[in-house]
Amino acid sequence: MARLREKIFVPTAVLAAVVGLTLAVLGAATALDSRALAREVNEVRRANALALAATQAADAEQRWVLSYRFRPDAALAARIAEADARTARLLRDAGALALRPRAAALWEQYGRARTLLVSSRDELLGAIRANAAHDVSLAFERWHLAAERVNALLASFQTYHARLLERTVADLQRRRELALLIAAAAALVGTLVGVAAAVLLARRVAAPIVAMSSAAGRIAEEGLAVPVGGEERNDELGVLARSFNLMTERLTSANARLAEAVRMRDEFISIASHELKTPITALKLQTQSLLRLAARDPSRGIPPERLVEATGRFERSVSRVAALVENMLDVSRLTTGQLALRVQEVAVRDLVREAADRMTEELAQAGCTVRVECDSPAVAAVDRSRLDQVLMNLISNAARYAPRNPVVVRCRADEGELAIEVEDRGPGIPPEHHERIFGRFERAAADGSAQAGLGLGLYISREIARAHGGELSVRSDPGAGATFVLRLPLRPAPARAARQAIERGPSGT
Amino acid sequence: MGRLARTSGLKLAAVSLGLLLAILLALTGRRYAARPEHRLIVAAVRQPATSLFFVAREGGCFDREGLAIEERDFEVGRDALVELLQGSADVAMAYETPILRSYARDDRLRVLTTLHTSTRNTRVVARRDRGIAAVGDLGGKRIALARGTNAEFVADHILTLGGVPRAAVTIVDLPGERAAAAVTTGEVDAAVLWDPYAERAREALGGGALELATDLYAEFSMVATRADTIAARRPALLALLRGLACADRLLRDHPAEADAAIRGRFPDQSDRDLRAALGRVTRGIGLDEMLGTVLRREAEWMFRQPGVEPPDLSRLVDPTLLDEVEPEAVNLVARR
Repeated sequence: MARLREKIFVPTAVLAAVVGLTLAVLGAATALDSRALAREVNEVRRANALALAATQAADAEQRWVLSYRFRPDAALAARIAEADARTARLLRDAGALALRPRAAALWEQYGRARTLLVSSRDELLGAIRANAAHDVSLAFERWHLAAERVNALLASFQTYHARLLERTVADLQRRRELALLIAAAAALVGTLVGVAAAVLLARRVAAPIVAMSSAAGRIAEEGLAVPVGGEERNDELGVLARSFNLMTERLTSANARLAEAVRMRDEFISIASHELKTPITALKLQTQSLLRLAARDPSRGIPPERLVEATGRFERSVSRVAALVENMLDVSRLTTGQLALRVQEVAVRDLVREAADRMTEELAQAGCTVRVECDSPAVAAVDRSRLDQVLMNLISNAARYAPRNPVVVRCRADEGELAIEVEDRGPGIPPEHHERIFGRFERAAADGSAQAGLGLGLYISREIARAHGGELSVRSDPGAGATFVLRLPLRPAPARAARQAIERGPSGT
Repeated sequence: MGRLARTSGLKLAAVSLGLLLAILLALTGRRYAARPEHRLIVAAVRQPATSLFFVAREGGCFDREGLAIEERDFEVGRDALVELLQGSADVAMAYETPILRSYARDDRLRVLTTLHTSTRNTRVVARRDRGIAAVGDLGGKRIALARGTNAEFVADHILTLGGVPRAAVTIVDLPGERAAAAVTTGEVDAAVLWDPYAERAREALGGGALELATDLYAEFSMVATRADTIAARRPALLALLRGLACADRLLRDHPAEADAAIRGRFPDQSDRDLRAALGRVTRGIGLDEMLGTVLRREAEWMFRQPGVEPPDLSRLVDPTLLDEVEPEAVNLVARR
C-alpha cells in the first residue's frame, strides 16, 4: 500500500530539495564569486601599487635626468641614484607578486626596457659630465627613446590591471544578476509546482477527508447512512474510506437491530400487558363478586358452592398469570444464558403419555382427541419438567390452532436420537412462516390473524430443545395440518448444549 | 517506498529540473546550432615574425572557428596592404611603417592586432670588408633596403642613434631577397634586412658579416583590415581573431608542437636558422601602449617635413574586436 505520507511528502521533499539545492548552489557560487573578487581586487591593488610606485620612480628619475642635462650637480646625481635604487627595489619586490601571464610578460618587458634605460641614462650622464655636446645629444635621444618605452610599458601594465578590475566587477555583476534571475526562476518554478502540488493534494487528500467529515456530520445530525467514496485508493485514505463505510454499515445494521429490539420489546410489553391484564381483571372481578356476595348477607357468608366455584376461577386465573410470568422468566433466562437443565434419566414413553394425559382437559375443551403412538422403551437423559413443558406447549398449540381435529403424538428412538412428533390436522402453516413461528412474540395463525398469548411458546420450546443439543422444527403445508418434530440426543451434554444455545442466540434474532 | 509515491516524486523532480534547465539555457543565451562558415582572403607575408598566423592555420585554429582562409602571399607588407586597400583582400599583414604610410593615403585602414614584436629582427647586415665596424662607419656607404617598409625607418633610426647623417648614405631600393643577394655579392655595402633574409645574408658572408641593431627600436607586425570590412564582415573578423588567440595559447602551452607544425612553411631555412629567427621575435596578439608609442614616433618621423601634419592615429587602431575576443590583450591607454 502506498503510504499517504510518501505520496505527500516525497514529491514535496523532492521539490523542496530541488529548489533548495538550486538556491544553495547559487549561494555557494555567489560566495565563491565574492571571494574570487576579493582575491582579484587584492591582486590588482598590489599590482597597481607596484606600477604606481614604478611610474613615480620613473617620473622622478626622468625629471632629475632632464634637470641634470641643464644643471649637472651632485644633488641631482644623488636624487637620480635614489630613484634608481627605489626602482631596483620595486623590481625585486615584484618577484613576490603572483602576476597573470600577460601582466608578467609586460613586467618582464619593463625589466628589459629598464635595463636599457639605465645604460642609456648612464651614457647620457657621462656625456653630460664630459660636456661632449654631440655625444650628449645622441645619448639624450637614446635615453629618451628608452624612457619612452619604459613609460609605455608601465602604462600598459597599469591599464591591464585597471581593465582587469573593470571586467571582474562587470563579470561579477552579470553573474549576480544571473544568480538572482535563476533564484527568481527557481522560486517561480517552486511556487508554480507548489501550487500545482497543493491543488493536487487538496483534490486527492483534503477532498476525501472533507467528504468523510461531511458524511460524519450528516450521520450525527440526521442519522443517515452516507457512504463515502475513495475505497479504491491504496493508501491510508482508502483504508479510512473502507473503514468508514464498514462502520456506517455496521452502525446502520446495529441501529436496525436496536430499533427492531425496541419494537419487539414494545410489542412484548403491549402483549404482556394485555395478556396479564385479562387474568388479573378476571381475578379482580371474581374478587369483587365474592366481596359483594359476602357483603350482601354477612351473617350467611359466601355459599360453599359459590366459594368453590370462585376459588376454582381464581386458581385458573392465577395459573394463567403464573404461566405467563414463567414464560417471560424463561425468555429472560434464555437471553442471559441462565437456563439451567436438571438432567435425569426419563423413560420416553412415560414422559409422552403423561404430557398427553395432562392436556386431556384442554384438548377436550377444544374438541380434539389425542392419540399417543409411543411404545419406545428408550430412556433419555433430559430435563423432565422442561421436556414436559415443550410437549404440553406443542399439544396445546395443536388444540388451539386445530380445534375439533385429532392430535397424534408419536415418538421413536434410534441411533442415539429421540424424535417426538406432535401432529395436527389443522389449517397448516405456510412454508414462509416455518421459521418465523419460532421467533419471539410470533402469534400469527395460518390466515395471518393474531392469536392470544405472548407468542413465546415455540421460541421457548426450541431453545429448550437446543439447550438439550437438539432441535425443534415443523413440517407443514397450508391445508395439510402441521407436524412439530422434536429431536433430542438420548444422551446430550447439557452444559455444552446450553452454551451452544446461548451462542446461537435467541431464534428470530 | 510505494511505487506511486516514487513515480510522483520522480515526475515532479523531472518537471522542476527541466523547467530550471530551460530557464538557465535561455538566460545564458547559449546557442548550440552549428557554427556558420566564414571566408576571408588574407594578404599574408610569410616570415618567422608573422608565423603566429601560420600556427593558427596549421594548428586547426581557424577550422575550429569555421573560418576558411584564402591566402595570398607577398614578400613585403607594403604590397599586401595595396591588395587590401584595392579591395582584393579582406585582411593584410604588415609592419608598422607600411601601415602608417598606407593609412596616410587611405584612412579606411584599421589595425586589429599585432602578430609579433621584436628589437632584433630587422637589422643592418654590413660587410666588414667595406670598413664597417660600427654604425658610425656607415657614412658614405651604399645600403640596400625595401623602401616603404620598416627597413627604411630602421635605417634612419640606427643612423640617427649612431650619429650618421641620413644624407651621408646612399639608399638602394631593393626588396628583401634581392637586398640580401646584393650585400652578399658586394653590390651594396650593407642591407637592412629581416629574417630569413638577414640570416641568409649573414650566413653567406660568414665572418665577414657585421650585424647592427638597436634595442631602442621595437617593430610590430600587425593584422589590418578596412573599416567597411569591419562593418560588413565583423563575425568573420572575430573568427580570425579567435583563431589567432588560439594560436597564441598553443605557442604558450605547446611551443615545440606549434613550431613543428609550421616547419613546412619555411622550407628554405634550416632548423637552426628558423629556431634562431623565432628566438629573435616575441609572437602574440595584443594592442598595448608600446604599439601606440611606436606608431606615434614613426608617424612623427614619417611626416617630419615642415608643414606636414602626421595623420590622426586615433582611429587607426580598432581595439573593439580584439577586446571582444581576448580582453586581456588590449591595454591601450584611453585617450579622449
